[in-house]
Amino acid sequence: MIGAIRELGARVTAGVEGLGRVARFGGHLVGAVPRPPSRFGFFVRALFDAGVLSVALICLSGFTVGMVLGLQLHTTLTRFGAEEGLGAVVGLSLVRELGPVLTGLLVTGRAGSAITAEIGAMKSTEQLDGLRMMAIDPLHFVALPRALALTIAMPLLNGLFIVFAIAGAYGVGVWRQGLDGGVYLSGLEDAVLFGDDVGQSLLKSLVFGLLLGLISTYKGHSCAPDAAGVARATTSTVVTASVCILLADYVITALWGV
Amino acid sequence: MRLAFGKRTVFDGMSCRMAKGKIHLLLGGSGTGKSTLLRMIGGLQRPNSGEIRVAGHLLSEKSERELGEIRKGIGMLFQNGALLDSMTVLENVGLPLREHLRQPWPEIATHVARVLKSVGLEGVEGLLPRHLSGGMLRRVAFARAIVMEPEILLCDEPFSGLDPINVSRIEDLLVELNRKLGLTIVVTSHHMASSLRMAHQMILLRRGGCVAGTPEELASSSDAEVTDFLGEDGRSYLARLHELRSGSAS
Ligand SMILES: Nc1ncnc2c1ncn2[C@@H]1O[C@H](COP(=O)(O)OP(=O)(O)OP(=O)(O)O)[C@@H](O)[C@H]1O
Ligand SMILES: [Mg+2]
Repeated sequence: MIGAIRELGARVTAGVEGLGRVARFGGHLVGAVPRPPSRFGFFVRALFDAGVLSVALICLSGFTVGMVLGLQLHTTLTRFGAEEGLGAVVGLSLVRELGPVLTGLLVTGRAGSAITAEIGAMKSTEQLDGLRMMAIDPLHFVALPRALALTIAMPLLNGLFIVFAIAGAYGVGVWRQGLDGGVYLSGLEDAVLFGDDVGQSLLKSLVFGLLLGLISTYKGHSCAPDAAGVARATTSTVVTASVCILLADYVITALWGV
Repeated sequence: MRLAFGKRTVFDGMSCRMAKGKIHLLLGGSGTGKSTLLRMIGGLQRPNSGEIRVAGHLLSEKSERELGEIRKGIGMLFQNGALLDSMTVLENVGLPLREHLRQPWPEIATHVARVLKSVGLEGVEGLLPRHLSGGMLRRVAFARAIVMEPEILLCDEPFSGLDPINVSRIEDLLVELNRKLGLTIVVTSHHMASSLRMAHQMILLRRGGCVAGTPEELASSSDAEVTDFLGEDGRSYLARLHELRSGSAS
């Protein structure tokens, strides 16, 4: 009994300690932003790795999700005789929820895990210590450009995802189910508001990008310096970031509505 | 100074001084803590207790930022090279120049080419570390350690994996750096002949502590462990070296 309580206590303490470490890491990272020299070249390269190389995945996934939505929602809406509402429903669900969340999860798997693995491998081959011995802060040199790149790439990819999904739903709704294209588009246009819906979408994807950037670089920097450690850290990034994204999604949605 | 990783004690009651402007040779069996000691001098590893001073600075009191300032005067060759594997040789060796002196790349390129030439490498600037052989890698890492002309040079196994010509090239380079620029050099090595030839002071690590002295002192030591470590060859080599030195002095 006592042992179980002690175990629980140790778990909780370790969890809080871990949170504290992430917070301190985040603080260092933010503090490193204005410090010269600018890492613009590295930032562009990280943006290419995280953003440009994810474009194909995001487009394809977006289009597929859109097609499924078009099919499912059209069938359901027809049951209530409300198939003209397809554009509105598809647009709102994509812009407010599915776009940011699915993009967040996809980018976590595609780019977040890669960043953790890369930084972890650099740590285990003493490359980070090598940087420190050259009086170069590895946080500033390695982590910062990658975290920033994820933060910037996420809203852009989110936009891309939504556009392709809307196109996918249009394709199914109009060409397959015989809905009028004008009705679909005008329903979409009327339903989606810029300030409320697009704003929320942007905010969500920015926050998800920030979270993923922080988590993936932190896990890389703090992993055990061997192959098993890197593998664990990579898995942990995917799990932690996915859960955090889903939690943050709920929090933002709830606060936005108030 | 004391250091333990969990239950494994590496150093206990270890204490030594390394004089400025001299070449120090760190000896000791595999796993006695040579690399760890170099990492501690570089401030990468903090002792559990005790203090480490480098050029008068007490490392344990310094923040990471202040350590950075101290490290600008220290060059370190890691046992595995620790080159950045996503950057070319030129970018690797030129990185400290770029970061701290803000030199433009053309200037860096000529500087790097000169340093690479001094370690016997030419035309490798555009290659990535994974395209180099083990010995080339070590020499590139060595070039990176000396490119900023530091005051203190920490070399972990600079000779391992090198052919005799390159061993003597690096050895000459170390001696020259020490003579011309007054560099303080700490070398770990199993390459007895060349290390003994250049060392001013030898430090033999053992059982958490160390024995230090000039090569001559250690050679004439009656301590069984010291004589064992140096071996018959090492001792006779030192004796011959001693004769040569005293011969040339008189
Ligand atoms: N991060 C660490 N965690 C736990 N133990 C460590 C760590 N680093 C080093 N050690 C232990 O410290 C001891 C000294 O290691 P070190 O790498 O300094 O040896 P070394 O003298 O350089 O050996 P070699 O000649 O093989 O390079 C070893 O016994 C090793 O097990
Ligand atoms: Mg070693």
